Order: sequence, then structure tokens, then C-alpha cells
Amino acid sequence: MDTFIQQLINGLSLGSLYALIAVGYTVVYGILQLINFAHGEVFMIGAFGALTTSLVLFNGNTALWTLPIMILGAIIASVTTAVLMERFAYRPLRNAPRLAPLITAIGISVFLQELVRLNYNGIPQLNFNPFNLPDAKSIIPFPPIDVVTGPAIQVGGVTIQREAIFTIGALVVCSALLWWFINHTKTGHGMQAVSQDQDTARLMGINVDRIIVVAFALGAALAAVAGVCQGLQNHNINFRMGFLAGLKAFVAAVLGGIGNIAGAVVGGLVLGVVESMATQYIPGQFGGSPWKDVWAFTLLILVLVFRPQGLLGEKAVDRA
Amino acid sequence: MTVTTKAAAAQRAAGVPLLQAEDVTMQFGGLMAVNKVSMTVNEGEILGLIGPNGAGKTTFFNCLTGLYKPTKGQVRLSGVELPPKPRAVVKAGMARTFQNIRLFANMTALENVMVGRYCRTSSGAITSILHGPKFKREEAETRARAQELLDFVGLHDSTEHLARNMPYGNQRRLEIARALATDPKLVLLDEPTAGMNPQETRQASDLIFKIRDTGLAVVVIEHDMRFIFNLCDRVLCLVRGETLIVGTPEEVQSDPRVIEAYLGSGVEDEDEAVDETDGPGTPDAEDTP
Amino acid sequence: MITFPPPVVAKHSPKALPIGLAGAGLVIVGSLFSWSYDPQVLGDLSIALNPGGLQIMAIALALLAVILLLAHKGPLAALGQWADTERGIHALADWTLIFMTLVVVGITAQAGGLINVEPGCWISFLGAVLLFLASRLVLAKKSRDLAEAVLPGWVEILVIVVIMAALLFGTAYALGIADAWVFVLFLVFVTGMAIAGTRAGLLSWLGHISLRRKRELILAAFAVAFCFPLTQGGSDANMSIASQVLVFAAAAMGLNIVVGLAGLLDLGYIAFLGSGAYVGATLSTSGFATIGWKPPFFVVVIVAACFTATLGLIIGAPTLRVSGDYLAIVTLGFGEIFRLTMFNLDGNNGPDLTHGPNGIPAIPDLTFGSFNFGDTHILLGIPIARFSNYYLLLLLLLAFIILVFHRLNTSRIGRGWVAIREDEKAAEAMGVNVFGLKLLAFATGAFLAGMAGAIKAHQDVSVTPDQYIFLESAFLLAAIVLGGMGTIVGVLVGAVILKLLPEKLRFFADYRLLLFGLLLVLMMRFRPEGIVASRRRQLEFHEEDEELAVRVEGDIAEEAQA
Repeated sequence: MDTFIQQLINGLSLGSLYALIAVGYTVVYGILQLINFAHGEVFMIGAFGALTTSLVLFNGNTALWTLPIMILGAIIASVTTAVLMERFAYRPLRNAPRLAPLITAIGISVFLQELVRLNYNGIPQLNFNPFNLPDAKSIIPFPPIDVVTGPAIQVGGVTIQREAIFTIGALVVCSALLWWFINHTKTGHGMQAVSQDQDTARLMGINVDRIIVVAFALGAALAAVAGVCQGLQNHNINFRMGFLAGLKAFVAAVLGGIGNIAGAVVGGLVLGVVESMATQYIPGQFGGSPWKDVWAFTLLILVLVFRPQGLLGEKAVDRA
Repeated sequence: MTVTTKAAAAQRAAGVPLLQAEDVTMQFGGLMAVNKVSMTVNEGEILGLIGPNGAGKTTFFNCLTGLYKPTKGQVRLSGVELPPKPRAVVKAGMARTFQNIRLFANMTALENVMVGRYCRTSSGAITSILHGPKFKREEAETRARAQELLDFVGLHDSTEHLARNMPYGNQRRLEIARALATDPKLVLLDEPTAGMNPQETRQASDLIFKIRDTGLAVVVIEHDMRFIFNLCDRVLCLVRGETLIVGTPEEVQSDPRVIEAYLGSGVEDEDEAVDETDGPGTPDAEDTP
Repeated sequence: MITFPPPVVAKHSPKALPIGLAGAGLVIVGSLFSWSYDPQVLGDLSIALNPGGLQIMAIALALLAVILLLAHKGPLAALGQWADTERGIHALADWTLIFMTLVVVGITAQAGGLINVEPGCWISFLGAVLLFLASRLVLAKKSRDLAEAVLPGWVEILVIVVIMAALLFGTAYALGIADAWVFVLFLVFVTGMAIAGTRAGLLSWLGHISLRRKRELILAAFAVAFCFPLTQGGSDANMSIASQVLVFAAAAMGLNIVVGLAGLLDLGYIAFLGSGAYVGATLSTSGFATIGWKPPFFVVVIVAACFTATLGLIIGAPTLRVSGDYLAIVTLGFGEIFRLTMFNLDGNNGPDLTHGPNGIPAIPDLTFGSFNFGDTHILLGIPIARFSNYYLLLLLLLAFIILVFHRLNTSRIGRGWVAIREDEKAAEAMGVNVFGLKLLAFATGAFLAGMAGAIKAHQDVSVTPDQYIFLESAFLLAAIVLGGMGTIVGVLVGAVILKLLPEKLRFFADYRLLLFGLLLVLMMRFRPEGIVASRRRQLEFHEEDEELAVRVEGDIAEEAQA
């Protein structure tokens, strides 16, 4: 039983990460019908933003009060990236066939990964590194912030990592803020309207372009928080971390019902738990962590075949 | 120009049933778009389907052709029940056009019609790659038949024109040619004269008679009453998803309920002009009649 | 770019011709002298009256300028009436100036100082400047519609042969360039000639010829490709790159069926190539192969292809029913599943079929009867070594794939695919077997990739999971998108560019992927249909453009008459 709870908590922690990133996917897809392939990189840049804030402003000081500022730094980095992405790459392609933005997204994803890898520490060829940032070509240690990292907490026979608690807590807080924002602010209502019917929303006087920017920013902010959580959990970050996390988060978004924010959260948690349980409980050679990604993708395929609208989505009526 | 005569119409009314739709019902969530509508079309008959906007006419077409799966009811063609799958319906011999023209815009007129021949040919990948005898034969036949159909609808000179460049009236004719390419026994035409002037409307009428004369039956959704009453052997009037009346043009024309449904009864009544939507979500112009 | 105000132009335009001819003359004269004292710089430009590669290019640019100038106003005016010589001269002069400027910069950079640029180079540079000035003084004039320019049949075929030969020797030269600067300058040269030719209407004329003479063009192209190994004088160095380019091109063409024809976005295609490679490796006589059956090669190819096609069917059956966006992610997921599975079947996490991360090395060369692909054979007196052998085999495979592509495209199946791309629901309503056709595209693409993979395994000698990562799928997709979705020539161009450029521009090696990502973004923004645009795709990407629609109709009509 203890193992079960252990894995459950691991799963929820992992799932919280997925959930935070998945919201960004689902919100953008709900409005633009665009899979923002580069969203994983936004997550990665958030983590790097937090790291930079810590190195530049606090010189690696790991006191707890630096954490909110690191999160702020992460959010600034992510949101800037996402907004620029929307403005210069996606907006001109609003009316293009679907292939165009998708390929653009792949291009952006590769570009951002490489940009961080090559130029995080300034421009090496010109010896330009004003903040003395480390080389990003290999993994970089992430500052272990006091209180949220450190020795695990024992509850009965279950070992709970502090970082796990932090991550799950972050999800709860962010979900609450998100729920309030969507349902109790004008912009939030605007987002709901635009995702239902863009043209009518425009006719009702809603500034659709601004709403879209807000959607990107929102997703980016949450991804930034996820980036910080990942950094704390793994104790390091690297430029590649966005790829797989992004893919899994997309699986989560589809699982929960694409376009549905609550679905993204639920989907993320379910995916995390399934992955966790699969590595523990599938017997024989095919259990264990080398196969966990395979299970995640298999789940995606099953969902798309048997329940394409996801867990919380509505069945879309095919209009002739 | 031919006008369908009473005697000929009466003869056809007593003829062999081709299409039998029984109690077709289409429900979207809480909204009943089509409610227990039955329709029989006899061989060689031209049947008109009329009704105010939002009455469910296109939805009914979609149910007949398998684009929608009806909540209840059965559709039979030549006695055989049709599954709610568009391809099976076409193969059985029922073809349609669309209210908002849905041609393949970036293909030429000839190519559009050739696509219609797809379900009547069967050259597979192997024979296509090897240019075997079956491939050559079917390609030649497809091309010839497509050209023949373009001539039939009066688009002889437009073979290499891109569908998107063609004038509106020609596009409508092209859609009909494409539907005919599937060798149907019954054609469903959804508002074929929308946006046409009187002369084009007359030409459309002639074309439909020509189609009937080749042995097909036709069902036409239209709003132009004069067109319907000159053309059709029988008329079915749909209001708010239910059959109001079925009969000869004279019977339907003079029924006060039909007049009321279209024009309203005297004083009021914007509410009389029915919900525009046939289902939840964004109303698509496809379903508004 | 810089232009002079109209009154200035009008007043001085009679001077355009003499200035231009003088400029071109200087370029030629300068090129015959030494450009740089140091023979190691930029491919040896140091010997007078023995022009090195770059100097020959400069002479070629100048000669074209002379032709255009004389065609504009002078003895070649009869030719000139067909060409938009003003725009051609403009473009040519621009690029010649760019070329010469880069030469000066290049010599300075490599030889260490401006002082090392010899007078000959300066003379050519001055010539380029004069040419540029002259080009700005040239008046625009109307030209006739090139569709009407009809030359005798043999002239057209001769032109095709000449162009093909130029391509052949140009490519051989390009592959042989060792110095990155020289390669860049070669690209500038090619671009300059191409743009000048396009502006002058040359490309449009060639386009009309190729519409009329498709069959001759294709035969000439393949003849040239087959002759390529013979131009290497027995050296196998470039053939290694060439055969890698061919594998890539073959895979891209297979993907072109899936993406370009059927419009299905497959981001996991590399898994099919990998599947073919692994089957080929496993059934080979390598000591590390895990299965005891060792059939002859052509059986292996069939087995690999069928296995991969089955994989395609298994992947396609559940997923092709879902919408395009999801399909992309699902296929990406499958690609990852494949890679992870190959990685994990190492005895610890699964039965040992693939040796996990180490893969299957030591795959011996193909043998076809008594013909061993590893040996050097003599053809027409020229030795054909290992990579050349694989090159020729892959060329045959590529020809086959192109044949399949073309024939499917021009059949009922191809029409069905276009209909599906245009309006899936309407196609279904007209009786097109949408799901079946999508599955066919997927399975066919997989089958062809399987064949290519089987050959690749032998060529690469070893097969490992990290050769088949997502980035490779992205590259394949990029080749199609960049080159021209749904076209044959376009995808070949895209494949060559994407595989060849990184090899030749080694100093960019670190920034390779960064530029790749940027290139994708820019391409989709400014020219989504690709370099060589399929007419239909151009129409699809530019829905609003009516002029385009009319022009395309004209092309279709012309082709139908051919």
C-alpha cells in the first residue's frame, strides 16, 4: 500500500508539471486551432530565466525569499518569448493553411533550443558574457532553494519529496488563480468567447488580437512556473528539457479534452499517475522507466481512437 | 421548355418507389431538427422539398445521404436499407449537390467530374503504377465520361478551367455534373438556383428535366415557388422539422397552412421565422434552410 | 537597391551600353590576371592567364552581361525582344558586384590583409562597379510573351542537354570544393546567374520548354545523374556524400507521397527508414545480427519493405481517422516509440533483438550474385569504387520511387488525394474512399522508406537508434517544404540543399540547426509553397490571388496541348 501511495504522489507531482504546461497548449489550441509545438521551449526558457535571475541577482544564494523573484524572472522570460513568437511568427500566418503554422512551430522550437544551447553564455566568439553565465551545452545545476528542497519528509512508510509538495502546491495555486481569471475577469470572459466563436466575438467588440496575446502569455506564465518546479525537482536544467515535456503535456491536453482548461489539469494529473503506475506495476521486462514514454504515447493513441474528445471534452458534432 | 403535365405526373406518382425514407428523426441535444419525416420518391419522379428557413431541409438531406447519422428512422433505396455512410449511399446510387457549392476549387472542371467517377472505377495502386491495361482502359473511360457529362450540362468549353475561376452559374452546373458522374439513380439538389436570374433559372429547370429524361429521379430543395411548381411532380413541405403536407403542386400551393408558414399569419410575427440553428455550436450555413 | 532618378537615367541612358561593355570587359581582363599572390587562397587565383575556378565564374558572369547588353540594344536585339533584359542586367550587375566584393573580402580574410589583393582583382572589381552603374542607366522596355517563343524541336532538346551538362559539371565541381569561402562564392555565382536568368525571363522560357518536352528532360536528367560517378576520375570521396544525399532524397520522396500528395502530416517518418534499416541489418550476415535467417539481398529488401509497410498500416489504421493536427503529434509519438523500442530491446528491458544503444554494427557490403558492392569495378575505363556502387543502386531506387510518385499522382488515386486535400467531406460525399486512400499513402510511403532503409544499413555499415531521432524527420519534412511540396524536382532540390550545404559549409557547423530553424520560419512566412512550387500548392497557399489562378489555368491549357 505504501508503494502505491508513494507512486501516487510521484505521479501527481509529475502530473502537476504536465498539467501546468498542458494548459498553455490547450488555451492556444482552443482559440487558434494551432498546436504550439514550441511551447515546450517556452517551458525550458522559463527554467533558464529563473536560473539567470538567481545567478545574476543573487549570485547563487539559495534563501527562500529568492524563490518568488526567480519565479518572476522565469515568467518574464517565458512570456516575452511567447509574445514575440505570436507577434512575429504566428500572427502573419493566421489565414494560412494549417501546415504553415505547424512547420513554423517546429522551426521555432529548433531555433530556440539552439539559441539557448549556443548563446546562453553570451557570444563566445566575441568573448561577450557580461553576466558570466555558464555554458548551456551540457546540463547546468539549478540552485536548490531552502525549504522547498532538501531532505524528504516521512509520513508513515511513505517518503514524500519536498519538491513534489511544492510542485503540487504550485499547481493548486495556479489553478485557483486561473479559474478566477477565466471566470471572473473581463479578459477571461473574452477568452472564453473567442475560443467559442472568433468572428462573433470580434463583432461584439472584443479585441481578438489582444485576447490571443493574453492566451499565449497565460500559457507561458504557467509553463514558467513548471520550469522552476522541474529545476527544483531535478536539481539541474538543460536546453533539451522542453522537447519531451512538451510532447507529454500535449498528450495530457488531448487526454483531458483539447480546448478545455480543466481538462488540461485533469489530463496532466492522470498522465503523470499512469506513467508512475506503469513503471511500478507492469511486470516483466516491459515495466520500468525505460518504457514509460512508450506508455504515455500509447495512451495518446488509445484516447484518440476511442474517445477523441478527451475525458472532459464534448463530442463535436460534424457539421456538413 | 417543358412543363410537367398533370397526366404525366399522375402516372409517375403511381409508379415504382425508388427512395423510401421512414420516420427520419434528427435530434441535436435538446433540439429536434427533423421530426419523423417520411418521404417516398418514385422512379423518374421530380420531387420538390420546400419550407421556410430553418425548417430542416438540408438537415434532412444530410440524414438521407449519411452525412448525419439519424437519431431514428430508416432510409431505403430500391428496397435496400442504407447505412449512414456517405460512401455506401453513393455506391447504392444516391448523389447530391451542396447548398454552399463545395467544388474542389483548385482542380479543373474536368478533374472535378473525374473525381465523381471514383466510386465506379477500381484501378488500384499496382495497376496505376504499372500502367496496366485496366488502368489505361479506366482512365480513358473516366475522361470520356467526364467530358460527356460536361457537355450534357452545357460546360463543353470549360474543361480546363479551374473551378474557382468559373462564374457562379457554371459552378452550380459543374456540381451537378460531378454528382451525375457517380451514376446515381437519384439526385438530391440543394438549392440549385440560389442566386440565379430568371434566365439561368429556366436553364436549370431544363437541365433537371433533361436529367429526369435519362431515367433518374430528382429531389430539389428550393425557395423559388414558380420554379418548383413548374418543375415538380409532387411537393413536400417541411416546417419546423415536421412534414406539413405532401401532394401535387396545386394541392400544396393552395393549402393555407403553407402560405401561413412562409408569410406568417397577418399581424405579427418575427418569432414565426423559426430558429436559424439546427443544432448546438456554430450555425453553419449548410443547415439553415 | 540603389537606383538613379528617372531624369538622370533618361539623360545618360545612351551611355549605358558602352559603360556596361567596358565594365564587363574589365571584369574579363582582370580575371585573366592574378588575383592573389598566395596560391592557397580561394582555390589558387595566383597564376596569370590560367584562371582558377572563381575567375572562370567571374568571366561567365561578365559574358552573360555582354549578351544581355547586346540583346538590349545592339546586334542581339532579335534575341532581346523576348527577354526582359533591363531586369536581367540589373540583377546580374547586382550579383556580380556582390561576388567581386566577397572575393576581395575573402582574399583579405584568408590572406591576411587588403595588401594581398592583386591588381588583377582590383581591375575586375572596378569592372563590376562600372557594370553596376551601367545597369542603373538602362531603360526598361517591353518584351514579348515567352509562351510564343517557339524554336525548332532540336534546338530545344539541345538546350536541355546543355543545361543538364552544366548541372552535371557544376555539381561535380561543387562537391569537389574543399574551401568553404569558395563554396559560398560558388553559391553566390549560381544564385546570381539564376536570378538574372529568371528576371530576364530565361527561367520562364525553360519552364515553357519543359512543359512541352517533359520526357526528354527526365531522360536527360537521369543520364546526367548516372554519368556523375564517371566525372570523379576514380575518386570515391565525393561519392560518399552523394550517396548519402541520395538516401535522404529517396526518403524525402517517399514522405512526399504522404505529405505532398495526400496532405498527411507525418512527423515520425524517420521510423520507417529506421525500420527498413534494422530489418536489413538483422537479416544481414553481420556477426551481431540477432536472427538466423540470411536471405539474399533482394529478398531482404522485399521483407524490409513489407515489414515497414505493415508497420505503416498498424500505425495508420487507428490514427488516420483523426484530424491533421493530432496526426502530426501521434506520428511523432510513434517515431519516438520506435526509437525507444529499438533502444530498449537490449536483453535487459526486452528481448535482445537490436542490441539497444549499440545497435548492429559490422554490416558487410551488399552482394548481388557475384557482384560485391564493396569492390571496385571498372566501367568505361573508369574505376567505380564502393560508394559509387551504392550511389548507382540508390539512383535506381530513387528512379523507382519517382516513378511510383508520378504514376500514382496522375491516376484516379492521385485525383482522390487532391480531392481529399481540397475538401475531405465533399470527397467522401462523392464516393471517394478517404480513409482507404490515406492508408494507401501511408503504407506506400512506408514501403518505399523500408526499401531505402535496407540499402542504407549496408551503406552505413552500422545501425543505431540515435540515427533515427525526431530531428531527422524534421529535416525530411523541411526538405519537402523548402523544396516544394508535391513536386518531384522541388523535393530533389530541397534534399540536395539540406544534405549538401551542411557538409560544405563546415564553418557554420555549430550554427547549422539554428539556421535550419530560422529557415523554416522564414520559408513558411514568405514562400510556403517552396522553391519549386507545385501549381496546386501555390493555389492552395495563395487563396486570394486571382491573377495566379488565371496564370495557372493558362499553364494547364498549354500543357494539355503538348
